[in-house]
Amino acid sequence: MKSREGSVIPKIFINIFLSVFSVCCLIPFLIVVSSSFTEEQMIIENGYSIFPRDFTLLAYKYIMADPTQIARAYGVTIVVTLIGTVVSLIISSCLAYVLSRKDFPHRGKISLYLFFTMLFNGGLVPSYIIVAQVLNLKDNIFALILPYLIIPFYVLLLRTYFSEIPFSLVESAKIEGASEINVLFKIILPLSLPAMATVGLFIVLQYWNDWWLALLYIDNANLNPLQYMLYLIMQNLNAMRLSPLQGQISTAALPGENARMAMAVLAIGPIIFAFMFVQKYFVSGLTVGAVKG
Amino acid sequence: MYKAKKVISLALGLALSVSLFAGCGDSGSSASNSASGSAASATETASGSAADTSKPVLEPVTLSWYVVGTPEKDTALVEDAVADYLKDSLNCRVKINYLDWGAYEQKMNVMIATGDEFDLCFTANWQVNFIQNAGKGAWADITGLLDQYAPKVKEKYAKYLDACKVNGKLYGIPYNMSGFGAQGAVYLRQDLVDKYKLDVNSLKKYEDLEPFFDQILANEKGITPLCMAGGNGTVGLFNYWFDQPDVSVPSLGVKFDDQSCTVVNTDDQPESIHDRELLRKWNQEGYIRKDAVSIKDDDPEMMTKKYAAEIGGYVPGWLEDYEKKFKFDMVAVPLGSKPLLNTTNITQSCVAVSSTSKNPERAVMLLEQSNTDPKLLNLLGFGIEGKHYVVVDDKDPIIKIIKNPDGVTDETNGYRTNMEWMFGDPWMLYSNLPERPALVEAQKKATDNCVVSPINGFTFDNSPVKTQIAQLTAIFNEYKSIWNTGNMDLAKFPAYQERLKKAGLEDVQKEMQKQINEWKAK
Repeated sequence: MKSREGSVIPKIFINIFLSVFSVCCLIPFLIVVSSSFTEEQMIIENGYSIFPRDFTLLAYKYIMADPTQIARAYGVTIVVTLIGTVVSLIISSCLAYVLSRKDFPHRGKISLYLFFTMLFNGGLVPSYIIVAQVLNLKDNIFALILPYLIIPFYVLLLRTYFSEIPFSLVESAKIEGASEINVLFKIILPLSLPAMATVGLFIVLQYWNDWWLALLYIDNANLNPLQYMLYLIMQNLNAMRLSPLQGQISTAALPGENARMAMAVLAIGPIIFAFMFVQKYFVSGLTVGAVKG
Repeated sequence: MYKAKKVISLALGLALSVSLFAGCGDSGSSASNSASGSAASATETASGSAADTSKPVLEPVTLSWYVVGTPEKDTALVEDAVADYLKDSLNCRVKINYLDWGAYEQKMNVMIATGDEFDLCFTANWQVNFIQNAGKGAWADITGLLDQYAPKVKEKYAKYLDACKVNGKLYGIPYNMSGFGAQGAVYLRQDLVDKYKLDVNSLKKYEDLEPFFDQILANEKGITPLCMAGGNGTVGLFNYWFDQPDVSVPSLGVKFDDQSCTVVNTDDQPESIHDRELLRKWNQEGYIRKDAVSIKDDDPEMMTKKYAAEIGGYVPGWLEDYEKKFKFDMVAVPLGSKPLLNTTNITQSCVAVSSTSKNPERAVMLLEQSNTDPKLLNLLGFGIEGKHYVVVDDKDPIIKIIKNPDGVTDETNGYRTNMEWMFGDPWMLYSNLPERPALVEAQKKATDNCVVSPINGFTFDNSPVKTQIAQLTAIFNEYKSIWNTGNMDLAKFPAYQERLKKAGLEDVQKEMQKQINEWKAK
């Protein structure tokens, strides 16, 4: 009894710490939202604030006047994320399952091969040559999907989870006449839902937040994903600031401070919901691969 | 034992793969050599056919040109129009690739590193490092091609071409002539100038601003007289007393009128000492904000209307651009030293032909035409007449005054890049400003007035003193924001100098002098 009462004080500290931490996480987000509703001149003169000083929808009207750019970027991102996540989950789980089977003779070598790429990789130039010149995927939507199909870390996560499922389940299924494919899709995967959901979320985020592949392989503005569009908006300003040619470069064509924030708000949009849907698996999934007592 | 074997085989495999990549690098450079070889032979055949007939029939080719800019809806239409326009002369299609500012540097560097094929691109000493890439073999040597295919450009830009040479070979054509004449100036807010009846014509040197600054301090609450930002590069008071061959070591330079080309420690020179003391005094008097060091950039600060003045480069026409950006009226008073024409200024923007280009001679021909034919230049820069712009005034033989077609705004215009200057001679571009022809005349005059640096055309190869330069740059970056805003006690200056000396300032100075002497002897 006593020991339980004694643990109240640390709990208070933990709660205070976590509350402060979550407020710190929220404030930048609030500032972004509030700036998107503020008049541009107000931002220039007074800086950012947590609550909009004089409320206006001008920035959103400005973006929505020609929503094709943002709509197209959304389209690209959604297509890439959907296709990428589904295909990546299938391939990763197949690979992880094979590696988790103790009766597969070459699992050590293949695991090493996989693990090796986590530590060392070819680097930028060879991978660019492969994608752009060998596979000829420049300005192709698959350049945004293929490079992330197998991420070794996620495969290893899944493998660890799969190998915790008793092998006797597989054996009994086989005695009943199930094929290997059936064993994987009907028995192993349903049992691994938390792991699949967690890894799935990681992959979704990977694809959703990616701008790097677009920077490398996409020249055609119609194929720009959302994050890359945002990245360009921010980077364009920075690059112009560094330019010694300031006098000649017109910044008039750039979106104002509030419009940029509004774009950021619009871009955050749906990915927040992804968290909500997978949250219930998320906690159990996070212990994937952790040592259990 | 088995494990050890495994480790050994792994290590061997690793070594093998490393050597493989090293091999890749070598073969890459030899490939580019052979490419330039074949280009040379192509040149010969092309020139042969040019000599044969008065109107040579050229094979149709596509030239891809990488420029900075936001991709536009109607780029393909403009490309069609350009192809149409050039059908009987150059017979080439120009594929215009706009890459955003944020992506340009990285994308071009990857393309160059991997030997991707393209023909022309924008480059400068601050974007896709022109000189370094010239050394690496990224650009085609166009010295001979220019003689043969671009005699007009050669004559027109004769004054500037030296600066685009690296080791005696020409690698690019500059096109930012209007910026060469930039002179240090103070930009003052018009409303405050009027309020305190400041006679701007009486301002002859920076010190003359002090009475005005005192008035601001005394009467305008919340307004700081001078906007300075520690985050800016080596702006200071915008005095070009020296030509600094290596921008990362601003402490070394040749005085702009020293024909003997002696490299001196610029910090010891009376001009620098004067500027330093003045900035310190202004900081002490409160003309500059005490926390100016932490300000990243002065332009957005100036926009807040919390300052009375800003220091910046001035060329006729730039004031109007700043006013548009800041949304209030200003006056510009040139107070800095005379503008200096040197390698750094000229290589601030260039166009280079890629060494991976299959048709370097056609690319040079295209540059010749885009720099001499206003029609082609403005087609590339502003799009199709009637669709992307209409002419309101064509009194000037070259510079037509244009505007958006009726019912079209800058936002809905399918080809409004604001990057028209990426394609050629900026003084042949159309404009929406009625006063543009007069401004161009003024800019030409300002550029003619430039002091030509005694070491114009010299490029410093910093490889022998790389470690020293890295150290010096680190020290300089540590101090620059404090010096630039007058925030450091002058008594501490000798200690700073001592650190620079320890880091090898003199080694770099000797190396620089050696290279300048060799360059001069040529």
